[in-house]
Amino acid sequence: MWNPIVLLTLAGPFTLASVALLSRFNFSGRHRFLLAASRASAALSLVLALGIGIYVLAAGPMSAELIGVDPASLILRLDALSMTMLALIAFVGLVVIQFSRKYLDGEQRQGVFLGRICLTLCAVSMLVLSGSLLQLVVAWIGTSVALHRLLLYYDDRSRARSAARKKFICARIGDAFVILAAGLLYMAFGTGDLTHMFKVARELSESGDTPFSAMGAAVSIVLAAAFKSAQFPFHGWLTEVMETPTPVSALLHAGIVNAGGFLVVRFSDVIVLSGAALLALVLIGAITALIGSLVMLTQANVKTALAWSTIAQMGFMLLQCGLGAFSAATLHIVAHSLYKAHAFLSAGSGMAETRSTCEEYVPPSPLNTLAAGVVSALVVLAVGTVMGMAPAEKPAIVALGVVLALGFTPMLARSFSQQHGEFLAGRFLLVVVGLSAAYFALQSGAAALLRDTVAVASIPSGLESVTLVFLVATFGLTTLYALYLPRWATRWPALYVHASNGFYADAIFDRSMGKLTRARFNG
Amino acid sequence: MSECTFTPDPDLDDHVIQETRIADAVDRATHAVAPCWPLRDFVAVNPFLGLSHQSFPDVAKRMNKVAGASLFMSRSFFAEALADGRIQEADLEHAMQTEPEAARAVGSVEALRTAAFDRDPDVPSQPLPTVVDVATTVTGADWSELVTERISRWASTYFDEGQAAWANPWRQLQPYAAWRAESRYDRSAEFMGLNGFRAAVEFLPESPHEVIPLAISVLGISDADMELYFHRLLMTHAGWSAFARYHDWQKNLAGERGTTVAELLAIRLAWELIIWRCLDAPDLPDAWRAARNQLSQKPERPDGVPEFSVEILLQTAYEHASQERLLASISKRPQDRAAPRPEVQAAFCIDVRSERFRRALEACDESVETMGFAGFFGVPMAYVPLGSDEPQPQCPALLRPTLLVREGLADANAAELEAADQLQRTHNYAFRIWDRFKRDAVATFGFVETVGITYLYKLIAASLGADAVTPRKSTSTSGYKPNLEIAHKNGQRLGIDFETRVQLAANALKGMSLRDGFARIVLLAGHSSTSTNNPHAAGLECGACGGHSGESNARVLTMILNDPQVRSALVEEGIAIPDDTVFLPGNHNTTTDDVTLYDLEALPESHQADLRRLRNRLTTAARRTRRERAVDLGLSGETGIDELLRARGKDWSQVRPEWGLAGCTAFVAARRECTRGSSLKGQAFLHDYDWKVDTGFEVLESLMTAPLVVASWINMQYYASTVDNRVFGCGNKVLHNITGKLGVLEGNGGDLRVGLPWQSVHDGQRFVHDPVRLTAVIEAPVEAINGVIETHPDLKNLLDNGWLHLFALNTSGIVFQQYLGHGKWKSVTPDVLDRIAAA
Repeated sequence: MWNPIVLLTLAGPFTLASVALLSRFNFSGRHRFLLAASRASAALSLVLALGIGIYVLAAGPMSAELIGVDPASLILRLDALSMTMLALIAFVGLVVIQFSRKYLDGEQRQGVFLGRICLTLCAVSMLVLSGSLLQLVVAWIGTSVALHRLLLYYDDRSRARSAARKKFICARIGDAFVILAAGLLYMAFGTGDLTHMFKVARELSESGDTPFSAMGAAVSIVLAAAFKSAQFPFHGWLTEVMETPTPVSALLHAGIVNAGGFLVVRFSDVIVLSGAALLALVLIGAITALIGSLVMLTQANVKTALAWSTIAQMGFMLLQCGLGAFSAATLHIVAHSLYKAHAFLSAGSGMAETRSTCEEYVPPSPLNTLAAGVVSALVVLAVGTVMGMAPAEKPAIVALGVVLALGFTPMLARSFSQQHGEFLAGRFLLVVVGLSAAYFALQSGAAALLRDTVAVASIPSGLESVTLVFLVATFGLTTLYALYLPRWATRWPALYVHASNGFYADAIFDRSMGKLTRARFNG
Repeated sequence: MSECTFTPDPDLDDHVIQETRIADAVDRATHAVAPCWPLRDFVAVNPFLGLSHQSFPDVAKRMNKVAGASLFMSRSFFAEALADGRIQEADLEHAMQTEPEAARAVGSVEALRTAAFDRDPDVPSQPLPTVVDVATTVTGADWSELVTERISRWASTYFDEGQAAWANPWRQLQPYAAWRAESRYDRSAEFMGLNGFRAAVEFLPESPHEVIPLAISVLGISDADMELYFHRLLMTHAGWSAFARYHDWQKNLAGERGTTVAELLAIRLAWELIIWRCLDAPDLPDAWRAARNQLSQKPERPDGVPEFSVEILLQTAYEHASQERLLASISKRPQDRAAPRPEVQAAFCIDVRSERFRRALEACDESVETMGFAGFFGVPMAYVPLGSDEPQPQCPALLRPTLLVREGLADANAAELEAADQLQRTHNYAFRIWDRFKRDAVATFGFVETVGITYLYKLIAASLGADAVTPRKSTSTSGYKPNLEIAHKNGQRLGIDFETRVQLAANALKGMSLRDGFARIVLLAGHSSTSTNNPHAAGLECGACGGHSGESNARVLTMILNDPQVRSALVEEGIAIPDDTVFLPGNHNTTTDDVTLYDLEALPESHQADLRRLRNRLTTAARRTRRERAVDLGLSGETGIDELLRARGKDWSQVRPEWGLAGCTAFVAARRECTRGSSLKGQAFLHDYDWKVDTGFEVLESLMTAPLVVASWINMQYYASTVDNRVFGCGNKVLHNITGKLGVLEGNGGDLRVGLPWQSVHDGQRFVHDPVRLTAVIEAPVEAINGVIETHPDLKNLLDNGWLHLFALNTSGIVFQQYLGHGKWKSVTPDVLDRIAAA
């Protein structure tokens, strides 16, 4: 099955790995070579990912066993999910490498840095292309090992070592769950070939006769994802790893932290076999999303706030998975990656232009807020209906539409301002309509793209209303709290202290790993 | 916990703590900290501002004790300069003569030379101990790191200028009270192993005025050691101390008394008490009693050579060598040019970056004259942009803006202006609503789902240099123009009245020594820079305008000078401006060297040909300047340099958009004839000054107390950031993490970092800034210079304590006297002059 397309796919990771390898040797003209070769290999990867991606869309998903015997085989799986992720990684990689050329100009070890970036890109590419369990496990571990070398680029900084160590511990626990999951999957399905495995899983979900090991695997995958995607309370490493040049943060937040979410989406056919796994995703995701977004509000450091934002976004993405909206989660990964890569790379531009920006808002009147809430909900509902997202068919999309409407509410409420007149309110109403249309268009696009690739699940019947009430209550309260912050924050000042310290989860983690004693004396 | 939580130290001789002595020590320690401005107004500050009453070598010792800092380059740096001949034997001899104390300690020139080639001695880089440091040693856990981290975390939320949407609820309180209120809830320290933290906080006095004496008595600090101990504590979070000092500085300018630094000191002392009390470490008290003796000890050096003797001699020799090269280019007989009326006079800021451009512009034609003047053009204003009530200071940090000028529109009546203002406010408000949508809890998910995907385009555009990441308002294209009319709004008096306008015009012209001989076009060029995604962008802008573009100041002064009524009033001041003289405002972009001209609609038809010629010359001069600068930026080749330089300013990944004021080593206040034609390599601040027309030496006084002092600030900022970037600089740009929209952290936390980034003084291969103290050269009689020095103690301190070198030029423009301190001068001997001539 030596399909030329498959071989071509490997050319990207292969050139990246070659550049990484060459960066470890000394030869004349090395610096100039690495500057050129790293960019060229990332560009090549991007071109190939786009070209092959289009081919796969036209020709349908394919999977090719290259070498080895099941389960110890190298299989590439080319489908809408892997190609989307591959293109995303290649794009972010190219942007990051281009950025690093000037940003790290003058650094003696710039070549080493670019080599390590290439190695990491290669590992992530192999991860998303994985068609077999063994390859997946190896690439999963390889990604975090390659990242570890990037986090220790300034290994003379004790805070860098301490942060990398924390990440190392979380990554190893995540690895253990991936290995456990792989073992259980092999037990349950008797194969390491993902294509075959997912086919069996779909049959199982129809027959309803799921082996216990498959359910265990689903839960293990969820836990591995929780560690990889920095879910509360194992998030602490993500808020500390800005001890390495900014482009690494961009790559990490846009390319690597997603790996947890990718794993869940990749195995969506297995995940949906276990109600417990789905429930765990909803709970872990929702709690992390809410805690993350509250803590984010308190952070005064740009990069730390961005890290908390990522934690929250990853939580929200896993929540989407838990609701069975795997295509929405994939879309979220892509959109968030692009946004966060830009946010990190442009983190040097966050100065106050005028003093007045810190003045607190006058919070809108309760009546305005209520009106804004009702209008937002109606707009989202109306646009959704017009665009063919009927509530009955897609309860998950609707549940997530509620969150969207809640997000619009403060914006609209603030725009109902005496001082600026109807002009502003009208404009923002248009914005809300436009964004709702964009939302549903993107959702249907993602669903169509991933139609045969990810599982389609719906919230178990009977639980729809419970889920809806849960989401409205938790996300609604958080929205109101953030909107009325100046007033409520002074009422419960202790909450501010706990939130700004990330509810101490990290301090407890730090102490248990002996941060204070280690940072100074052992590194 | 009992009443006696904090018990006084029994060893303390004087149980009755003298309140006034404590207050004095607090006062001295807090004033020893130099302020740092927030990023939006980032201007250079002399990091030793509060210590200039002490000599340079003494401050070197002090900073070593309180911060583990070194004020000198490593010996290998000097050894290299000796080896390649940049330092000569004569320079070493000169150093031995000028620093007799150090010379005695070192012995001979030979010994000095040998010492230079030695490896660096083990200078104690460990600063004086604090209780927290001793606890770290005793327990093996890094409490020092924890305390700095906790204070920095707290300070970043307390001083936050708009990053966190959920602001610290105690910001309205004074710092100590705010910290105490918050700490009563804060469990972090306990989770990290400091049991009883919150209970200890409860026991702390409510007032900072009580904490300080309490700590003094509990920890047993003697009167004599207090100041040093306090200074050391403030340096454990030096960045936040500096930012607190900025708050106090602003209060002082407003005539109030600032206590922010003292409050921070109280917080740090409270931490000393908490560690003292809460830590379960039986060895701590004894270890502390032993350690605190170091506060009063004179450090014993194994080789018996007083600290830094070798360094101060080598530094002096190094400076002497570079000084001679500099003086050689200044000291030549001015050429008496037969002076027909110049075609154009162009005034630029004294900023060292103007020197290159002025030289290039003058080289275009004999009939072009250029002048140097502080870039705020003597207009001490704050500028209120349309749609804002927040004035932005547009004058040096030393001054408090006394005028408020608001942005207006060209050709707009009051109603139209009001409408534009309201529209701008609505835009600002809409922008803030959108910004909150981006980062509000819950809304942020919807934002990513709907708008996130558009960042695909933004990433591509930014990577191609097509999208400036930092939004910038282009004032030149949108018809904005300063509005000088008097108006009252929201309790503020806006505009400039007629008497003040005349006064500003007269002072500015006199300050430039420009009283007659006006050209047909007089260009007043402010300056600004272009960089994007650069936290320290303001540091590249005009320092005399408070870290902002000098455009509005230039426009305000030209508007005044082109007013016929002002001109007739100026005649009474003895300044007659010909009717055909037109003042033209401009702006010199120091990143691209392009000069933009403004308000051209005011230019009469008769001057259009002059304008064309001026534009051609500016273009030629810009191209020449860029060629010269390209070398320093490592750009080679003849083609494409213009585009490469312009692209730098728009590149979001560029950490060195331009070199700023790196290399600044000299200040010259003299007639341009003394320097015209000499290349000062963009290293000199040039201020035009003609003492013969300066009645009563008023201009001399103002230029020595303002521009000279500011030049010294900038020079010391670069010096300190070069010799010890760890303490005085802000470290590596690729790790910067903006905090509170006001400053940067390096990496994930730690103290606020002040000073210049490593990338601003180093190109990866070598230091781009040459660390030498400023050499000032003034063309004026020494009696007059002495007269100014004697009446200004701060200036006298700087000069008498070796913070800069001062030379005087005689009437024929030859360097002839060097200031030795305390009013004494030394003739520059003929053989030196010969060497200068030969050089």
